[in-house]
Amino acid sequence: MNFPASGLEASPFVLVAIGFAVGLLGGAFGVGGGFLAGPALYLLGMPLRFVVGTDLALIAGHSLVAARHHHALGNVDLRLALALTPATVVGVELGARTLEALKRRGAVDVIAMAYALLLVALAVFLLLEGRGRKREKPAGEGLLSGLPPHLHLKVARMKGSVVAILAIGLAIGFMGGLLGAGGGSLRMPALVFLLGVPTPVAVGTDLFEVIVSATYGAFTHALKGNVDFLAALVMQAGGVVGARFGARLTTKVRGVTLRRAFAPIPLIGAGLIVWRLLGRPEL
Amino acid sequence: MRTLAHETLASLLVLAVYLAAIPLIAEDLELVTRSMILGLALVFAQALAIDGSVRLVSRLLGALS
Repeated sequence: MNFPASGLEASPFVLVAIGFAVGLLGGAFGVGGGFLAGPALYLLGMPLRFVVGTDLALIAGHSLVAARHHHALGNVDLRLALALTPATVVGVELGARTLEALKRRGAVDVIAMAYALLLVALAVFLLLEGRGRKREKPAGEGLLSGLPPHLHLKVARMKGSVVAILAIGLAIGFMGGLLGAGGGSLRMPALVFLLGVPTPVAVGTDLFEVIVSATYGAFTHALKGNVDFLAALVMQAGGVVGARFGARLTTKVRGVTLRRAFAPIPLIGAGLIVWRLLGRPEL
Repeated sequence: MRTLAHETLASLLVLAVYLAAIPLIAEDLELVTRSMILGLALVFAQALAIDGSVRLVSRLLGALS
């Protein structure tokens, strides 16, 4: 099938299969899945300028469905999501400005490498944590959860530290703005370990942020004519189905199992950063 | 378990219909999505429509079994 906007020539079956895989990851782990959709579209032969915009349009749609399912399962804490979003936006802006300053000093590579190492360490930690532990930690027991003042988070059934929420939003937004990759793979573990949010709620709440960021990203790319909507729609058919199954998965497995299965995702984020450091095109 | 089987079957049915229909409407869809606003609106509308269809077919299968 031909996709005239980008000139892509691909089987709709393949696009639906890729969409399904991306949707499954999104529903199960609360990530956008651009790290999978972008390279896949590029390998299929989509011109680079369409890759990012198209995968963002795909992500915006299936994340909406995944978030709806998580909301129905009681996994989306809107209060937490609404507190995180503005801090993330400020963080992205600060990150983008810092990037410009660092570019002038030529220090971007060092920070990017340190961040990639942090993501690798996170993956190892996720694989090892909780070994031999039979029960999950109670909600609200995070490394920074003691910092006052506190906000009552109804869905998560805990009191969340406002300082910790703002710090997580700022830090993750900053990483995203600075390095453009890997930020999303930090958010779910940060909510779990720093704030003490139960894993399924961290996944569902994360998806709310993904909808906001992917919609904004798809909109700005569409303004520049960089989105192949037809390809995004075909992929999204599989994405929606994958997102349904992914969201269902969070009800079937324990939090620690889910976090272990999540471990390869920060590694992929680290890989993308190294890819960029090596001067390869942005996917 | 039965619900999962219904949902899987419903998903496959909906995707099969979608894949059969998409080459027929691709040209019209391409024209519509040249407008950025319509393109973005379609992304969300299609996501909700497919999700709703899977749910509906899954319930129908449940009622029939």
